[in-house]
Parts: sequence; C-alpha cells; structure tokens
Amino acid sequence: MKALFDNLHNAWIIGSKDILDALKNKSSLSNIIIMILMVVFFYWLSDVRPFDKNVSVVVYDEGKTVLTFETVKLANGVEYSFRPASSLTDMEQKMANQNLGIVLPADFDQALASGDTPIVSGYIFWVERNKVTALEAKYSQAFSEILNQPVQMNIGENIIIPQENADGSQTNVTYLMVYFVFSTALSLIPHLMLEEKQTKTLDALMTSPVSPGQIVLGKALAGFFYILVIGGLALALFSYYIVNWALVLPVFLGYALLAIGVGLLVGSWIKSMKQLGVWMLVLMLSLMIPPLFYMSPNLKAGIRLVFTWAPTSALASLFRYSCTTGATLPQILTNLAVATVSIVIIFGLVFWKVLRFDR
Amino acid sequence: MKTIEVTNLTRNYDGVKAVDGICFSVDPGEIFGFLGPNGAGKTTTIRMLTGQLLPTSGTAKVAGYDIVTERQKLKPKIGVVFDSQNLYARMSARENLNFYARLYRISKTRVNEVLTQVGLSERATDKVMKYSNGMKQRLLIARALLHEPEVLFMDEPTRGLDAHIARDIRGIIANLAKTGMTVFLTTHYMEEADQLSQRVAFLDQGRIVALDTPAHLKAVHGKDEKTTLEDIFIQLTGSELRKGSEEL
Repeated sequence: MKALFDNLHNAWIIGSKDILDALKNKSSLSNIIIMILMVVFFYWLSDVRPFDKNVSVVVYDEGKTVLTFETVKLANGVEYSFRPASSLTDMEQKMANQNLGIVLPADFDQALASGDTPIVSGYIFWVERNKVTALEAKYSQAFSEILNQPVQMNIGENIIIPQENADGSQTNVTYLMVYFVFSTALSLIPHLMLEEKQTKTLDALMTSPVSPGQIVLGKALAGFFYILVIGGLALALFSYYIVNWALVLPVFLGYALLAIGVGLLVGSWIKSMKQLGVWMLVLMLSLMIPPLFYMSPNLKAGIRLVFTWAPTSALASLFRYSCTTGATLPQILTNLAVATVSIVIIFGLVFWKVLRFDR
Repeated sequence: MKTIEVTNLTRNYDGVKAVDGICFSVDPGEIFGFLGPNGAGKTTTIRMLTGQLLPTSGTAKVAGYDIVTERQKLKPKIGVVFDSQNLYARMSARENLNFYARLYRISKTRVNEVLTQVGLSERATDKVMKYSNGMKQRLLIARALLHEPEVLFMDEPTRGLDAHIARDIRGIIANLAKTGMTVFLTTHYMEEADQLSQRVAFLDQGRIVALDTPAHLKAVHGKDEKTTLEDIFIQLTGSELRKGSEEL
C-alpha cells in the first residue's frame, strides 16, 4: 500500500511539474490552443454537427398512396428531398445519412381526401433525441406546406439508434476522435520526454528517489492532462452521439492511454526535434489510415485484415459501438483485447527505454 | 567503513574500455579528487557510482549500498552536481528546488537554507533562464545538497566559470568538507584539486595511474619544491597520451 502511495505521489509531483511547465511554455501552450481551436472548428464546420440544412426524408408508404414526392423547396428556402423505402426496416437502413424517416399510414389518402388532418409517423436519429417537440412542430409545418393541407407529424418515441455497421455521421465522429486524440499525443507528449533528455534533467531525475516507472507514470499523467483537455472537449461537444456511456468512458481512457503511450515512446526514442518532425508524418499516417479505411468494402481483404487489427481501428470500433447499437459482446471484447494488449506493449517499451536510458 | 569502495570497476562502450578495472576507496568526510584528461573516464565513473550507468564488470559500494543491486536505496544517500547545467530553465530557482524537495519529502524550510547556503536567496524567484552560468552552478550545488546527502559527487563543478565564481564555488566545497560530507570531485584544474582534496587519483585511458595525497605525489614524483600537481599530472598521464599518439 505504501509502495502504491509512493508511486502515485512521485508520479503526481512529476506530472504536476510538467503540466505547470507546459502552461509556462509558449510553444506547448500555443499547441494546446491550436488543438482546441481545431476541435471547435471541426465541431462547427463539419457535417457531424446537425445544422439546419436541407432535409432528406426516407418515406415508407404503408398504403401505396397516390402521392409522389419530389424535391420541394419551401418558402423559408429549406429544400426537402425524398427517397422511397419498401418497409419500416428498409426505411431505418436507408436513413443512414438522412434526417428524417416518415411512415405514411394506409388511410393517408382517405384522410387527405376527407379534409381531415392526416397523422404521419416521423422517425429521427438518436442525435436529435432532445429536439422531438421542436422537430414535430417543424416537420408538421413543413409537410402542411408541402401538401397544402394541415398535417400532423408525430415522432414521440420513434428514435432510431444506428446499427453498429451502418454508415452515418457517427462514423465521422469516431474518426475525428482518433484524429484529435492522436494529433494531440504526437504534437505535445513526445516533448515531455525529449526535453528532459535534451536538457539532461532526466539524469538528475534518475539520481533522485524516483524510479523509472514513476517517471513514466508522471509523464503519462501530464500527457493525460493534454488528452483530457483536448479529447475531453471533443467528447463533450460530440456527446449527443453517445448511446452507451458505460462503454464510451473506458474507450476514452483507452484512447488516452494508447495516445500517451505512443507519445512517450516517440519522445523516449528520438533524440532531436528534427527527428520528431521526420517521424511525425509516418506515425500520423500509420495511426490515422487504418481507422479511416478498415470498414471500406473496396479494400483488399488482406489489407482490411491488417487495418482491422490496428489498435487505433480497435478503439475506433469501440467508439462506434458506443454511438450505435447491435455490437455483440465478442466484437466488443475482441477490440478491447487488441487495444489493451497494444497499450501494455507500448507502455512496456517506454518503461524499458527509460530503464535503459544511457545504459 | 569506507564511504566509497570500488573494486575492478569496468565499463565498455562498443568494445572500448572507457573505465578499465579501477580500484579505490574513499573515507568518510574526505574530499577525493578524481583527475584525468578529457575522455579518461571520469564522468563514466561518476555515472556508474551514482547508479545512472551499469558497470560491465566489477563492483562498487557507495554509502554502504551496492551500485547495481541497491540502486534505489543508494539514491537518497548521494547528491550529484552534473557536468551539464541540467535545470528546468522556465522555472525559478525556488521552483526547481521545491520540485526536488517534494520528491525527497523535504520541508520548504530546507529549500530556504540551501538557497542561503549558496547565496541565491535574493534571486530565488527569478527564472533560471535568466541566470548567469555561475548562478546556475550554485543552484546545481543547492539541488545536490537539498537532502543532506552522505556523499556529494561533483563533476567538474568549476568548468567554464570565471575566476571569481570558481573561487566562490571552491569556498562552498571547502565548507562542505567541514560538515563531514564526503565529496567525490572530478576536475581539470590541478590547483583546485591540490587545494581542496585530501587525496587525488589520476585517471588515464580508463585506468588509475596514481592515487595518493597531493603532497606525497609531489614528494615522490616532483623534481624540486616548485613542482606542482599539474606537473605530476602531465608527467604521469601525458606520457601515456604521447605513447597513444605515436601508435596512431
């Protein structure tokens, strides 16, 4: 127990020193600010944020109504475009990147003809679950304008959670999380080790009462601060995508640990900033490409297999499972195992490198 | 009991013997001068004795602890003044010392004491990057003394300093000896070693070529009363170097 307390105490002293030092270091501070601005930029400008844009609607017509929808532009300038679906399931699948699914009831034509207010069932995605009332009003008004007659859109509990293998904006969010966390890791964390080596302050640490393990743990804590600030901000901004918080929190921790491990490994291996610049691109590509393409059906089977087993792909899969439904326990456990083993190996290498420092 | 006991200590780098089977011991409270030309193996020896570098063979005990098997126990017993000014430049002197004080579980009162001891109290809140070389060297000494070590290793503590500051640093070292601390001192400056050390060892090409008190070395190897320790050093190590040059 005392050993654990000593480890954590010394690691915290090293970590807190590095955090305070980073805040005094213009270069680190500007890197942190740039990364934060990048997260906010992607949040506002990428399509992962549900903007008020043109509305795509998938229509399942239960009664084979005589109506044929075409693209309609409303008075407020918003354009509604329609795609047919053959069943409710087909509608849900086709909604992958669409805003709205609607089910036209069998008696829809009759209600229209009799002048009653037809009731249409609307289906929306999980990300918009907090806006049901507003969307019901908005779509009721829009469809009333389209049909030139009052229409009632009821959404209620018709909230669709995307399937784990479905394409959609959760894919973009998943990838952006990988990008933010690992860009942060590679731009900030290697300096934690590199600077100690270059200024030879690591020599002084090695002759102080701290052990190599405590040094690694301390640096990991400082690295976690960076990831918490930038990755945590991204997670908070994209939190409306999260379906399974019990899964996403350990997954975020996994992202952080892998990223910290990679950052520290790079920092303990390289000898200069110049080397870091050279390796940065190679590392970024090898970390970013697998999660970007591992689900692509056009990829050759062998390459897809390699990409699927990449630790960043495993974490991306786990993040997708947190934003979707339908992932099986074996799928989750397999990806968890890949991520955990990778993290253990990488931290083992960092520890070994520090232990062998100048030996 | 000896404070430092070294037996057949050897360190190879890529097959080249940087330190070649050295043996010596240092008594408690002694200032021991470890002298040698560049590349003789002084820093390698210090790195091994402070647990930063594993020996290829041989053994050594510092403050009663084996440098390989009892490294963690050894650390609180030693202080090291490195040959590089390895300080956190963006932090102040006080912040640098507070950081190490927390690692050694030492009170901040002790930080004030060592700052006073090395004459940095008035500039304690200045960032280290604004310090002169001499001030940085004083801070390195303060850091090494913070936890009141049994043995202080000083790797060329006056190198590159102007005469006045070097004299101040020598004054600090001399005062340390009066407190009973054992000091293991490497230096290029023979006069400094002569002035401070009770005994000196001359290291050349990884081997100790002489080990004695400066007075006895001068008496045995000197030609007359004017012979300095530097003359003896050149006599004992220079011939080896010349032989090396001829072979090249």
